[in-house]
Amino acid sequence: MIAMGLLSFPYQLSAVGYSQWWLPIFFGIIANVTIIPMIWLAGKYKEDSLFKIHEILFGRIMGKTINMVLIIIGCILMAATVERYLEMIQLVAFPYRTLTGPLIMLMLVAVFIAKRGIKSVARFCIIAFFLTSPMVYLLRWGLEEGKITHLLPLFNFTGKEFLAATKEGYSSIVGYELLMFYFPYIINQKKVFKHASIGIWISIFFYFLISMVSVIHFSEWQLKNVLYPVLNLFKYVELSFLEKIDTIGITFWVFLILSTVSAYLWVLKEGIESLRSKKHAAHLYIIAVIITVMVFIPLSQSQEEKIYGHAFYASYALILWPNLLSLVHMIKSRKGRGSNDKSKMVYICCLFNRLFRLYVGKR
Amino acid sequence: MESDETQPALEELAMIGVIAFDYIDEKKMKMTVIAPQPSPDAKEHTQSYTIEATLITEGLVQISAKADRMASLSQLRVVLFSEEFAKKGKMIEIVHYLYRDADVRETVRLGIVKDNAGDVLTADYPDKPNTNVYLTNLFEPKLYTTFSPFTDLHIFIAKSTDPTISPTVPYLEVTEGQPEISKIALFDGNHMVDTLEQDDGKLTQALSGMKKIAPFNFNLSEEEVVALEFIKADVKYKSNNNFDSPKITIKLNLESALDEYKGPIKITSSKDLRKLEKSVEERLEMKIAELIAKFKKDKVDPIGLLETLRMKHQGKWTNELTEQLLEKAKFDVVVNIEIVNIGAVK
Amino acid sequence: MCVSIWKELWNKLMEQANKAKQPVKPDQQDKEEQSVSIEKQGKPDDVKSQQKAIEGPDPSQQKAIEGPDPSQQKAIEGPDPSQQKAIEGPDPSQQKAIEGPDPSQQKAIEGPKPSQQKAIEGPDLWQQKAIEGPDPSKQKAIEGPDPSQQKAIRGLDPSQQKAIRGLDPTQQKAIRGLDLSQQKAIEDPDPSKQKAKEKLADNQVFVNLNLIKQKLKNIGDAVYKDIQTDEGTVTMIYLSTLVDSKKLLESVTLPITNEIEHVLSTFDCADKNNIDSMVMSIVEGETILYFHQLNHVLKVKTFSPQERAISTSDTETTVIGPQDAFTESLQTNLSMIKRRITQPGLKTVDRIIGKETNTKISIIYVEHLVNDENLKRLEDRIAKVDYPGFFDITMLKQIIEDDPYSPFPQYFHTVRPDSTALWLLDGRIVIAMDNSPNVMVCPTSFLEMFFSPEDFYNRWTTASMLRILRFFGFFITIMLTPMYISTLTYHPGLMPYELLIMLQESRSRVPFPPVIEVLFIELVIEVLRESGSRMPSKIGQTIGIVGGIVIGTAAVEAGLVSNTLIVLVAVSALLSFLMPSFLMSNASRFVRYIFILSAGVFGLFGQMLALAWLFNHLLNLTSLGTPYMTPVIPRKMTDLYDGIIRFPLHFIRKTRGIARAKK
Repeated sequence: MIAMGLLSFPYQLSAVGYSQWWLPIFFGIIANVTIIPMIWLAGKYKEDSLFKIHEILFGRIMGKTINMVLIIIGCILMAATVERYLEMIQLVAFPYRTLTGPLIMLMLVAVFIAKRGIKSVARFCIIAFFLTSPMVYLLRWGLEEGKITHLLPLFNFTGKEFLAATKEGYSSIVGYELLMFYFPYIINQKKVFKHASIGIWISIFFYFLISMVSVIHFSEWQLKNVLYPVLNLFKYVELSFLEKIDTIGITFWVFLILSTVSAYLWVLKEGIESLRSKKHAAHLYIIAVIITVMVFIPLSQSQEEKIYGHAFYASYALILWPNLLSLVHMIKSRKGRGSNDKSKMVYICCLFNRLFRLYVGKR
Repeated sequence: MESDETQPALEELAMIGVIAFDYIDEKKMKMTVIAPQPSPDAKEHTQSYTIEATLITEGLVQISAKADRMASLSQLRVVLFSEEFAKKGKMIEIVHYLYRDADVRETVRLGIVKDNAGDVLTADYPDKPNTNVYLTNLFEPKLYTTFSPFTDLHIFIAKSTDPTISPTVPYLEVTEGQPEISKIALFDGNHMVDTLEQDDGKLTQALSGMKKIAPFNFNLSEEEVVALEFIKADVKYKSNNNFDSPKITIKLNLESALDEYKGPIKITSSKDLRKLEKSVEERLEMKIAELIAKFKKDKVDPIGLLETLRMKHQGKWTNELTEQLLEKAKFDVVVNIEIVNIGAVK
Repeated sequence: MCVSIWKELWNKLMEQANKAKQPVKPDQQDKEEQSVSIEKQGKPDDVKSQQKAIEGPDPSQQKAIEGPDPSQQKAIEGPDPSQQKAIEGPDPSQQKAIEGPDPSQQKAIEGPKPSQQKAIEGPDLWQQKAIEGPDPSKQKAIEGPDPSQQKAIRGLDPSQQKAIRGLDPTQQKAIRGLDLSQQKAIEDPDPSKQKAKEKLADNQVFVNLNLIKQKLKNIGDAVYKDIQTDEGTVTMIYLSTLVDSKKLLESVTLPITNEIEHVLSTFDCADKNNIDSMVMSIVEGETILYFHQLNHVLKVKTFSPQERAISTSDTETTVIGPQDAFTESLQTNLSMIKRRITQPGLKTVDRIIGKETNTKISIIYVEHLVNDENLKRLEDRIAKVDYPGFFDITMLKQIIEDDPYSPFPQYFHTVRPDSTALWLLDGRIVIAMDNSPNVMVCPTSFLEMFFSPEDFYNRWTTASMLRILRFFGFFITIMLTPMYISTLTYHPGLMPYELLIMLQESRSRVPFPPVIEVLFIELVIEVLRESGSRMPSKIGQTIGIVGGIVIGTAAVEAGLVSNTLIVLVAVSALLSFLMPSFLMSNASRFVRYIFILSAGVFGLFGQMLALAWLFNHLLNLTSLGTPYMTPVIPRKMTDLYDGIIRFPLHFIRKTRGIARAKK
C-alpha cells in the first residue's frame, strides 16, 4: 500500500485544506469495508487466485480477456510508480545523472525478490516494514515547528472538496486488493479478515501520522503547492552529525517501493501464467522488461498524467469489482443456496454498487 | 565503478555557505557569495565572489566561472538581503526559488541587512577564523538573541502564505565593523514594512508562546530600573467567537527571577515584592497595548492573534478577513508576573 | 547404482556357489566340530543333527544352533518360503545372512534382493551392504576343514551367536568390521580378486601371509613379528607408526604369551578369507594376529598414535567459562561432549565418508529433543556424499549445505565443546569428524552467528550489550566505507559543514576518486591480514607494525589516501572481527566489496539496493530446510528471549523455533 502515494499524500488531500488530518481514518474504514467482499469471494474459491475466478465465472475467453486487461492495468500502475520514484530520486540524490542505471538496478532487485515466489515477497515486505517504520521518528522535528491550532476547525470543507480529496487521496491507499491474487497461498485462511484488517490499520496509522504532522507544520498554501510534503518534512530534520536527511530518507524509501513493485511483479507473472496455462521462469523477466520499457517511453507530461490517472481509477474499480463477482458467483451457484446468505450479499452488493455509481458519476 | 563524468568530485565543488543579495534596479541584483577554500595552500580560507545577474541560475553560472569550481547550493546556510531588496518585494521571489530547489535545505536562515548585504560578507573579521562559520553561528538561536525569532526558509514561506500570521526576519546592523542583530523586520506577506525594537521583539516572542525569553529591563520610572530574568512564560488566548465585534483576551503568565533592581525602594518583604510585581505588570500591559496598536497600524500580525478565531471559523480564511478583523478586534491584555527567585542573599 | 552392484554380486555369488560346492565334503569335519562347539555351548543335540542343522533343512538342528528365537531357526533352512519370509524380517535376515552354507540359502537370502534390502534396512546403510555381502566367505568361516578352523569358529561363534540373537552393538561392530572389506568386495568387479578368494578356499594357510605382505609392499613401517605361544606361532602384523609400542606390549604381546586361551576367546575375529578387510584393518591401526597352527586370524584394536593434548583454542576464546577445545581425535572429541551431557538419550551415530580417505564421522543428537525430519534430511544428504577425501568438517559442510553458492555459512561450526553441548540441548544435530578439530552444528539461523558461548556465562546486561554491539557491528562494517564513498561522490550535502571542510582539505591532495581510494586501502588491509596470518610470529609482529604505521601514515603523507578514510577503514576492519563465527566475518568482508562497488556506481541509492538484495538473499536461505532468518521470519516470540537482547536465564527454557524440537 505504501509506495509513492505516501510521499505526496498531504498534497493529494489538500483540497480539504487543514481538515485533512482525519481523512485517513475515513479511508481506513472504507478500505476495511471493501475488503469484506474480497475475502468472502476468495473464501469461496479457496485454491484459485482472481485470475482463475474470472475464468470460472465468466468462461474461458471472457475471463482471459479480463485478465489481460488487468495485466495491462497492472503494468501501467507499476510503470507509474517506478517512474515517479525515480524522478524523485533524481531530484534529491542524483541531480547530475540519467536514470537508466538506477532503473535497471531497481528492476533487477525486484526481479530477484519476486523470483522465489510469494513467500520471498512476503518476507521482504515484513523486513521492509520493520526497517522503514522507525523513520516516523523523523517527524518529530516537523512537529516541533508548527502550530497545533491548525488542527481545528474540523469539518471545514464543502462536499465537492471532500470528494475531490478522496478521489486523489484514495489512490495512495490502494494496494490491498492484491489479496485476491495471493489468497490461495495463505496458510491460515480462516483468519484472513482479522489479519488483513490489522495490516490496513497499521498502514492507515502511518498515513494518519503524516497527514497530521503536515497539517501542523505547513500552511494551507504549502499543502496545495508543495508536491512532496513528506520530502520537506524530512528536509526539516536537523541532526548534529548529518545534514540532509532527506537524501537518506528517500533512498531508504526504496525498500517500500521494492516491496510494492515485487509484489505487483509476482501478481503479473501469475497473470501471464494463467493466460498461457503454463509456468515458465521467463514470464517474470518479460514483465520486468515491459515495465522498464514503459518507463523509458518518452511521453509528454500531460499524456502521462492522463494514462496514469486512468490506471489509478481503474484500480478503484478493481477494489469494488469483487461485489460484481460475488453477485455473478451467487447467480451461478443458485442451486442449494440458503436465502440468508443471498439476501445479505445482495444488500451489500447494492450498497456498493450505489457508491460505485456515485464515484463514477462525480468523475 | 568510477563516477560519471558529469558528476563533479568533491574538490571541484564550491560549497556556498552564505549568499547576500543587493538591489541594483528593477531587473538586476547583485549577488555576493562566500565559499570555503579547501586547499591548504591557499592564502585565504574563504573566497568571496560578487556578480551581477538577473536570475539566480545565471548568477550561479557566473560564480562557477569565477571560482573555477562548480557552485553548489547544497550547503547553503544563510541568505542575507538588503533592506531595499526586501522593501521592493524582490525578496519573496528569491525565497520561492530557493524553496523550490530540492538541493537547498529548508533550514536556511534568512536575514535582512540594513544597508549593503554584500559588505557583511566581504568584510574582514580578523578575530574570527572563518567568515562562513561566524555568520552561520550568528543566526543560531541563542539566549541573548532570543528576542529575535530566527527565521528559516520554511517558516518564512509558511508564515507568508498563512493569512493569519506574518513573517518576521532578524535585522542586522553593522556597528563598529561587527554585524549585530539589532531589530526585527516585519513583513507584510511580500515586502518589509517596519521594524521592531529589541524589547518589542521580546514581547512578541512571549506572546507567540515561546517558553523562554531573554532577560528584560523595565524602566518603571525615572529612578527605578528592574531587570528580570524569565524562567517560564505562558500565554493563553481566548476569543468571544463574535465575528462582528471580536474580542480577544490575552493572558500572559510569567515566572521570573529578579536580577537587578536599581531604585529607591528597598525590597525587604514580600509585600514590597508584590508591589514591584504589580508595577511591572502594569508596565508590561501598557507595552503590549502599544505593540498591538502598532501592529494594527502596520496591518501586520507576527504573533497570530486571530488564530483562536480561525479555529472556530468555517470556510476559507483570507487575508482581507484578517485585516478586517484585526482592525475591529479589541484586545484585552492581562499580565501576571510571579517573582519566584531573588537570589541567594536575602 | 544399487542394481548394478546387485547384479555383479549375484554373478559372483553364483560362480562362488558353483565352486563352493566342492569343499562341502572336507567341511563335514568342520561341521562336526562346529556342532561340537555348539554342543559345548549348551545345546546337547545330535552331532549329525547339528550338521544337518547347518547344512540341510532340519528344524531341530536349527533350533539347536540358533537359540531362543524360532524365526532364526527357520532362517537357516533351505529354500523354504517360510525361511525366505523369515529372512525378510529385520533381525532374522541378518542372522541368515551370516549363517547358511547352502547356495539355495544364498538365493534365499539374495533372491528377492530389494525386499531383503528393505528387510535388512535399519539405520545403518553400511550394515546392510555388509550383510548382503558375499556370504560364502562367512559361511566358509563357519564350516572350515581344520580343527584350527573349528577353533576359529569357536572364536567366531560368540559374535555370530550374538548376531543370531539379534541386533546388538557388538554384532554391528563385527559386521561393520567386515563392512568395508565386504563392501569393497562387492564393489570391486576385479576378477582377480574373485580368483584370489577362490584360491583361499583351497590354500588358506599359506597364501594369507604372502598376500598380506604383497598388499603391504612398500609400506616401510609394516611390522611382521613372530611370537611363539602355547598355541604355536603367532604372527603379529601392524603398522608401527599407528601403534604405540607400549600399548602393543600391554594389549597384545603380553596376553598372547601369557593368556592365549583368554585371547582366543575374547579377541575379535578377522575374516581370514577376506584379505582386503584384514589389510584395511592393519592400515587403520589394528594389529592382526595370525595363528599358524589354528589357521585363525584375530585382530586387536591398537590404534594409538600421537595425538594433540586438549588445549585452549586460538580462534574462539572466552574470558570466563571452560577453556578446552576439540582436538583432532574423534574419540577425544566425543568424550568431551559426552562428559557434558550424560544421558543415554545422547546418540552418536557413526558413518564413514570419503572414497579415498575413509574418514569417520559421528552424527550426534539428543534423541528426545531432535526433530526427526531434520535428522533424516541430514542423513540422506550424508549418504549421497561422493567425494574423494575430507580433511576438515568444513569440506563436508560445503558439500551438504543448502546453498553452496551463498557467501554466508548456513551451518555453525565451533571448536568449543561447551557451546556444542548447548546446541545439542537445543535440539540441533552435531557432526564431528575424525582429524577435524571443528564440529558442525545444524540447523542454525542468521542471528545465531552473532552468539558466543560467553553470552551465557556473562550476566544478561553485559551479554545483551555485547550482542547488540556485534549485530549492529555487522551492518556498520558493511555500510561504513560505502557511506564514505557515496557521501563524497554523490551527496556532499549530507555531512555537517565543518566535517565537509576537513574532508575537502584532506581529499584535495588525493588524485583518485573516492572509490579507487577505498578499494586501494581495503585491498591493502586484506593483504596485510592474509600475509599476517601466514608469517612466522617473529617476523609477523614487525611486519604488522610496518603495515599499520608506515603504510597508514606514509600513505596519507604521500597523498595516496585521506586520513579520514584510514580511520574508517581501520574501524570497519576491526568491526568485522567482532563476529564469533570466523566464516561469518569472512562473509562480511566479501559483502563489503559488493557494497563498495554499488555505492561507487549509484551512491546511497546503490547502497540501499545492495542492502535490499542482501536481505532478500538472507531471507531465502535455508539451513537444513529451516529458514535462515528465524526468529524474525517466521516469528516465534519466545525466541526473542534469546535474541539480540538476552533475557535472564530463567526466561530461556524452551528450545528455539528453528530446531523444531520435540516438546
